Amino acid sequence: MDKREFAALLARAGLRLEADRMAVMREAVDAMQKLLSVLDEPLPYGEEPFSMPRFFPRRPQ
Amino acid sequence: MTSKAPLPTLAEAGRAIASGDLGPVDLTEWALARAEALNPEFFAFIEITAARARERAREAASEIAAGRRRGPLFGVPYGLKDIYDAKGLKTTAHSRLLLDNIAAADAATTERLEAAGMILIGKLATHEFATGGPAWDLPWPPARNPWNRDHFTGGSSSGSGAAVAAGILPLALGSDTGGSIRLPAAYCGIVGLKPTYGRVSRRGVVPLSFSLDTCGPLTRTVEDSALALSALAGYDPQDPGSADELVPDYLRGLKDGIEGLKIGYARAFSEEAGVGAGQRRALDDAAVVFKGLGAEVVEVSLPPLDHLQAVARAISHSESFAIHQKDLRERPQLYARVTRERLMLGAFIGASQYVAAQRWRRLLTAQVDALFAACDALLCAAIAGPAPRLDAVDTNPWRREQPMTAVFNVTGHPALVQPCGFAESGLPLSLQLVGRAFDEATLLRVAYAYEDATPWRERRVPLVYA
Repeated sequence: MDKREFAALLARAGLRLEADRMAVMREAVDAMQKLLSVLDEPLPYGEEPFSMPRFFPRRPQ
Repeated sequence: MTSKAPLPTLAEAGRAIASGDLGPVDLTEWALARAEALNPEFFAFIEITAARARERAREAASEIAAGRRRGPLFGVPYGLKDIYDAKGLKTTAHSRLLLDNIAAADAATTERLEAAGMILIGKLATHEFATGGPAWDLPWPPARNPWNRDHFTGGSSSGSGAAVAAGILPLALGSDTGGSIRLPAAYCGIVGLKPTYGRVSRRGVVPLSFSLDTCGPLTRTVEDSALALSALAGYDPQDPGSADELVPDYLRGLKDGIEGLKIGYARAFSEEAGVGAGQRRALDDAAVVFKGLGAEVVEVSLPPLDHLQAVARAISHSESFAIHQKDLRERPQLYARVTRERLMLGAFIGASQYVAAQRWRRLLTAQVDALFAACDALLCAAIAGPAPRLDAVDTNPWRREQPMTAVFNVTGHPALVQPCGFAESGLPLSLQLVGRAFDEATLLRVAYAYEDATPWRERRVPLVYA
């Protein structure tokens, strides 16, 4: 992510950062997005989101 | 350094009160004296609630004198991570933002422990809002590890870990969104239990991530963990995440051994996560102990760690940002730098990424759950090695090293961390056991068998157990 794009996203979120932390945060966002990119792998249409909060089916007691 | 010996364990204290060897007033004074003596060293407490504790102890003593004893926890001291409400006391979440936040009611868990007759000794340090990291730009310093003050306690239930390891309290409550009960347990050489999501109510606890937050106990022994869970577990219709599941007797069968049980050892998972050689050897040794106890140990594979970590991070950052966004916009200067920056990361996750994470979560949970068709418990690492120096802890917004604990917040399974040896530095090493959903009883049974067969429980913090 380049500096302008990062600054635009920050402004859109309504957030402010100290000038000396901009580069560190931009690196952090890049690292996070790199990890999150594994979630871009396509899933079958039928794969629904987790249903919270009671996601374990009732088990026989 | 200490003016008083370490407190007995929860089970020992309960038995001493039952037999009349100790009274609630003696025990409370003991805990208060130790807390006052050691807090300047370890900064475990944000507030020591001495007057309230003494009043409650006197009431408990009167009940005993009248022939009434409520149960095994009656009259025994405990502490609360300072994100749990206790009526009339401040809940600060270790933050300037909540400096004047007085709780109007008890958290559901506080209510349960008070009803059991436990005596609250104080509110315990945490990482700010149960996230962030050790921070020096807050009104209270970070807690210190009793094994070595220069080392990290782990977090976010940092004061809970320090207070229990230092023998100030036999029980402290923590909360676990990505490992915040289990990491302090690992670094401080004690037992930390993250129950199944939904098992323990979160009502009255400051949230961090609604679909991952779990409340649970930190104790010195597995038996104490079982005792604490017996008091804490139960359906709460006022917590939308609470599960209406039967609560068994966690002490029954605890000491029955593990002959014939099958334990899945996720050995490759530790390697994938970059676990250090000493920690890996300790896990291999633990697998041998389990075999020696009559369990069958088989190697199993968990889903890819990067997928599990991505799901954990996408969900926790999104949900915590949703909670804090207004304050981050309007008064960001009140947060510690590390908290502020970590919370801000959630602003850079799109809605579709959050939904994708929840879709993957279902898939990955089913994959982990499938392992329990053949295994009674899983064994794996919680962290890469012993506690790092406090000044070496990564306080950047993006932590490069991720613990292996968040995986089971994603899947919701119960997970327990306990000591499994010591590094050359003398700091504790740990193992993580994972159980079937809502089967904490078997998880505790496996952990108890290991604890009983190994000497680690007996080795206590030299600084404060001298």
